[in-house]
This record gives sequence, structure tokens and C-alpha cells, in this order.
Amino acid sequence: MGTKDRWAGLKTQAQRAFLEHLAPRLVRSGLLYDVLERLTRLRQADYPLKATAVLARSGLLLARRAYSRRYRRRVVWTNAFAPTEILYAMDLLPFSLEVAAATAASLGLSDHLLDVAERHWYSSDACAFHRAAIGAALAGLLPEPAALLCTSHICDGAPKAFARLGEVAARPVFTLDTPAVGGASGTRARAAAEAYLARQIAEAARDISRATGAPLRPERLRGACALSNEARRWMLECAALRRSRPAPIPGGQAFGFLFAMFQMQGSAAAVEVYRALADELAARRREGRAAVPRENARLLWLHLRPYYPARIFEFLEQGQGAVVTFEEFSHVYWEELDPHDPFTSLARKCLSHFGYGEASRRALAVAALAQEYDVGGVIHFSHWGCRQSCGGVRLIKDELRRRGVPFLALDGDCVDRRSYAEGQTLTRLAAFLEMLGVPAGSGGAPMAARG
Amino acid sequence: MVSSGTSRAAGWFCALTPVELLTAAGLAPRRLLGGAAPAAADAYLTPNLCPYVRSAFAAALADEPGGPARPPAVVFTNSCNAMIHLHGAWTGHLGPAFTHLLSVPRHTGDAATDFFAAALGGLLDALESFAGRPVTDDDLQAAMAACDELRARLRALYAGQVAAAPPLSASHLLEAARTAALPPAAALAALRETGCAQPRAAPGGAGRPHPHWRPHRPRLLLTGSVLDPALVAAIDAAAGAAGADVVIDDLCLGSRYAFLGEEGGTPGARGARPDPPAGAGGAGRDGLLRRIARAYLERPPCPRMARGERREAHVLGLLRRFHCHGVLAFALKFCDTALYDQPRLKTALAAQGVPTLLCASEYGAEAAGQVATRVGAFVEML
Repeated sequence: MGTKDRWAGLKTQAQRAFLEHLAPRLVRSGLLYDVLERLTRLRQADYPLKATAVLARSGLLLARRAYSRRYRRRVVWTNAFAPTEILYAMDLLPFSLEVAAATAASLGLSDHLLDVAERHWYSSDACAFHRAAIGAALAGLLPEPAALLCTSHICDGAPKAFARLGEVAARPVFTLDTPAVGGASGTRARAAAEAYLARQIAEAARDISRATGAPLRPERLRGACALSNEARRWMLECAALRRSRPAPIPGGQAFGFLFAMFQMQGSAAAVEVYRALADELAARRREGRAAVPRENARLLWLHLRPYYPARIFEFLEQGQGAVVTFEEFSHVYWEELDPHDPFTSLARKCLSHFGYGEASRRALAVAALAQEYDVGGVIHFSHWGCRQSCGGVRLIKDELRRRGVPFLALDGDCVDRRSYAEGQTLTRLAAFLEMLGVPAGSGGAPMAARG
Repeated sequence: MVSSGTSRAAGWFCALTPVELLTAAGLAPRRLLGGAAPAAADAYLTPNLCPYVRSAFAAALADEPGGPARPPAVVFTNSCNAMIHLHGAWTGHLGPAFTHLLSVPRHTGDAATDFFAAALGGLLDALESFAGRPVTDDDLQAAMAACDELRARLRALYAGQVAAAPPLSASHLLEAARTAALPPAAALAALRETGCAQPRAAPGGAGRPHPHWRPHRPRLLLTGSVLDPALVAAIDAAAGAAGADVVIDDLCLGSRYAFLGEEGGTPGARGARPDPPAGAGGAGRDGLLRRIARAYLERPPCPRMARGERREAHVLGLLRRFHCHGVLAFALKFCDTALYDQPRLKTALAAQGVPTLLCASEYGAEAAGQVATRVGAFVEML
């Protein structure tokens, strides 16, 4: 065995030892968060957006609390579309497992976590977000929860993965069964769906209150709904500002704010984050500051993105001037909540997700977004294992074709970098951009040198 | 609307589809079992989607409108993402006269039953509009009784498998259970033709074991979701060649249909008062729909349903009842619900000392050779 192989082997062993023995302790160390918070403050000017710094501070505070002993009985593991308003109303801490998986991928930990899950019989055909979350739970890297809360929309994997996660954590799981009612179901069925889900949300809130000892007070719930509505107004403001031509921020930077979308709704922090973003977008528009020096194409991005280091957005935006003007998951699809009828309005919010139920809903929503943002093309990142998203790609493509909007389905994985082939991916993107009439290498700024 | 020249066939896929309503509306329900190569559907449905769904769509693509794989009316359920996308692709590309996406709860209990009964009401309204005639309470009750009779016949066949010398091989049992894919009257006729109309019937006469049975061989339970009959035959053959017998199934195309209502009361039980709707004092249609709703939700659970402990308990119950020594747990590739269930099932069964083989496979019998190898190795281990 050569020296190089020996070093590689030692590095692998060291990484494994770190992940298995040190990392579970490190994430629970207050010192880690002190250091990270200090770094965030010191390097605030380095953040591409001031709002990103606000988001980072909120995220760190949430993580610090989630892992601290003081908040031990206050953490609730959630999935992306769980109604976190009911948790914030009880001063509980939602901890989104998909966000955790994405974070793990960005830190280069997902290989290990996926390996852990696979060694426990979890199929590699399932979504890597959930597998990585299961791996993280098995590896002791997640904060201890008091309960788990998930919804069955928009994917099958979430409630099943959460059932397994509940067993790992030995905590109760509250699954909100979200009916899929389409246009042909009838008024009565739709009303019944709302009532069914509202009842489940109310019961889950009550049972989580009992499980955690955190009181559920009507005025606090009204307050959380009001904060959710306020954040929603700022989200809409941000969405409107991002319609500007040229686009004020690159999509690659905007993706980070999905953390707030998935985990912070109902909190004052979400209001702060989206207000900061809206202020910054407005300032950039006033000052004529664009995402890239030369905007050669405007794109709409569907589903999520790779969270491990990947040069997709650098290639598209800085390299080719093809700006992702908006991303699907930032779309505000729900009406304002009624603070005086929180459970019913939260049920309506869940039921109104365009990505659930009849697949044509999503196709129509995407087509409307494409028009609203005046995009020249749409890219669907087809995350391996995401049945809910990939299954409807053809319908979306056909709907866009009818409207003359070019479409690219880009295969990949958001969390498992083992199946990411950068060369192939960038080649496909280059070909797509060529089809849109973007000359090769005509980007707004030179790409950073590799290595 | 169904005109005089239109076929009355109504296709369905998932065992959670209340066939009673289709029958009551005067339609001829027919389960669509696919059978075409899934790859033919890849232009419409992503390749990493349920192979059964893709096979069913591929079969429809290859058929003429109104043909056996492409009936004019089709009912889908939101049983899983794949099924929802099948609805989207079918509606968008095949343009049938009637489609409906039925929302089926994942929970059981009163709240879920209330919702499901309302959803069934929406389906019935839509069927009436399509069929061009109202569905009366008598129509519903007759349909419920017909389906119950079919299930009772199938349950009697299953009951015979308890015997030390099971009268039916797994393939034969599933062939009989597949008759549930037909309208109830046709299914009963088909059962008679297969020689399975009476309990313990088998080639060679009543009370005799099936021809491939031998004494003192391990007895196996086959569990999973939807498995192509050809694949079941391959599994059965592989087990037989290795020296074991698959005596009972826990599949959507098998016992999950037959055992519906066994414990909680069948939808059309004679003499039973219809379950009145929650909060109301009346009976009639609402009560009948509620009874159907409750029976379907409380039937033997599939991996898609919440509360995995119910499925575990059911599988353990089958193991005890049919004196099984091991479990073959087959999941279709890309079936997230089954794939997530498998680790738990294996752990729970291991705790009871029951060896379990976990497999993921395509829908058809393309991988019969691999299946044979794995099943053979598993049986050797028993």
C-alpha cells in the first residue's frame, strides 16, 4: 500500500472516529455555538446578503437551544410542512429533519449518515433526506426530542420515516394525515377533509402539550398565527421584489431562506428574517444592483438543490448569467391564517399545497410562476427517491410546452453526493442554456477557480 | 355519461377502492393488473416510480380506448404518490371518460371514518353523474352483499390453508384471490370454474393437499404490497423447489381483499343495521357509506396505513393462525411505504424468533432467477 493510500485510510478512520465519538458531543457543546456566533458576527460583511446573516444567527440560536439541556423537553422533530405555528405557540422548538439532513450534506457528513441508515436495512431507493435523518438519529447526532410531528403531505416517505424515527428516539409520533381532495371530489368531501385535518391538528397540539408539559394557550396560538401571517406578508413582498428585471439576488443565495419557510413559521424570527430580506431586495432594486452583472437568462427552479458542495449555481449564475429568479418552494400558496380559528386555517394551509393531490395542480402552479417571473426556462431538479416530485415531471413539461417555455429535468440527489456527477450535470445545463440562446462563457462574472 | 353503446367497465387498482360503489352504480369493476413492461411508460412516468403503476400505464398505452387495460372509467386512490401520479398521467394523456381520485385516510377511528364516508359520498355522486342514474340504498346494499359473498368464499379457501396439508399452493390460492379483480358475479363464476368454489377444494378432490405438498416442510407467509401473479408463481416455485410451502399471503391481490370485514364486520352483513353517520340520527345512504368506510379502513393493513404496529400484529396473527415458520417480505422497488416498513417488520419478527427474508423486486417475473436463489438460500437456513 502506497503512502497516499495509507494517508487516505487514516483520514477515513479519523473521520469515522470523529463522527462516531466526538461529533455527538460537539453538537451539544455550548462552546461550539459561541464560536460560530462570534464568527457570524465577525464575518457579517462577508455574507452575500445582510438577511443571510440574520438567518444564520436565527438558525444558530435555534440549534444551540435544541441541543442544550435546558431545552431538553422542548424539541419536536418536524417534517417540512408540519404546522410549526402550534409548536411556537407552546414555546417549543421545531427541529426540521429535512433541514438537518441538508445541513449535514453541506458539512460533508451525509455519506456517513446514509451508510449508517443502510446498515440498518433502509433501502438506498428511499429519499436521502429521510435516510440521512434516520442515520443521524441512529448516530446520536440529533437533539433529543420530546415528540415528533409530521404530515403525510407531500410525500409517502415522511410519515413512514417519522414512524421509524419515533422508534429510534422512543418518543410519540403525531402524524397529520392530509387528505388529497381534488376538484372532482365535491364540496362535501372538501369540507370533510378540512374538518378531519383540523381535528387532527387540534388533537396533536393537545397531545404534544401533554407530552412536553408545555401549556397550549389560545392567546399564544393566536399570536403565533399572527406572526405567521406577518412573515407571510413579508414573503409575498420578497416574492414580488424578485420579479424585478434584472433579478436582484441570485437563486443560489435565496435557497437558504427555505430554512425559515420549513422551520420558522409562527415565530418572531421568521418575521425578522423575511423583513430583512424584503428591505434588502427593495434597496437593491432602488440602487439598480442586480444578481449578476449581465443577466442572459431568467430561470425558474423546481424542487430543491444539491446541498453538498456542487457548482451548479456558480456555473449557471456567475458563469453564464442565467439567474434563477425564483424557486418553487418559496411560493406562498396559502391564505392568511385566521388567528381566531387556528386549527381550521392551518388545515386549509396544508390542504392548499399545490404539490399535493391531483398532479395537474402543480403543473398549473409552475406554469403560472413561469409567467409571473417572466422566465426563459424552467429546471426541475429530480431528486432521486422523491416520488412526489419526479412523478409529475411529464405533466409539468407538457404544460410548459403548451406555453412555449423550455424545460429541463436534471437528475440528481440533494443529499447523497455519491451519485452526483458534476461533469454530466454541467454539460446538460450548458446544452439547455445553449437552447435558450445563452452563448457559452458569457456569464456575468468569472467562475472561481477550482481547488 | 355512460351511453347505451359505452362499455360499463370501471377500472381500479388499489385494494382500498370500494368496489361496492362501482357495482352499485351499475358499472362492471375490473382491477387493472398491468402486465406490460414498465419501461414503455418511462416517457410519461419517471423510471424510479412503482413498477406496478408503470406497468399498468404501459398496458393502457398499448391498448385501445375501452379495451381491457384502458376502460372508459377509472377510479384511483391517493394510496401513495405513485398512484396519484398514475391518476395525473392517465387523466392527462389517455383522456378517459371518467376518472376520480379518491382520498383514503391513513388512520382508522371515528374521525377518519367520518371523512372517508364523505369522500365515498363524493365518489358516489360522481359515479351517478357518469352512469346517468341515481344509486339507491337497495343498489348499495345489493352490491355490498355481493362483495361480501365473494369475500366469504375466498375466506373459506384461506381457512383451508390452516390444515397441516394445505389444499392450495400459493399460486393456486392467489389465482383464486385474483378473481376479486372481476365484478362480483363474474368473480364467483370464475371461482367455480377454477374448482375453488367450495372450501378445501383442490385438484384431486376435497380434503386433499395440493399436488406439490410434502409433509414436514417449512410453512411460509408471503407478505408485501402488490405483486404480479407471475412473480408470486416464481416465488412459490422457488420455495417448493427448495423444500418449503408458501401457505398464506398478506398481499393486496390476495388476503387483504378477502379478509376485509372479517373481524370488524362486513359491509353488507345481513341483519346489521347500517352504521348511522356521526352526529346524525339517520340511516340510509350515509349509514351505508359509513359502514363501507369503516370496513375498508379497519381491514388488514397494508404498508401504506399509519400505525405500523397494526400491521405487525396482523402479520404475527397470520403466522400463528397458519402455523408458519418464516416470512418472505417482498416490496416492490421504489415502494417507499413497504421499504420503510421492512426494517421494523424484520426486527419485530426476529424478536419473536421468526426468520424473515427481505426482498425488493420489480413487478413482473423478470427477476425470477434471482428470486429463486434468494428464497432457496433462505429456506436452507430454516
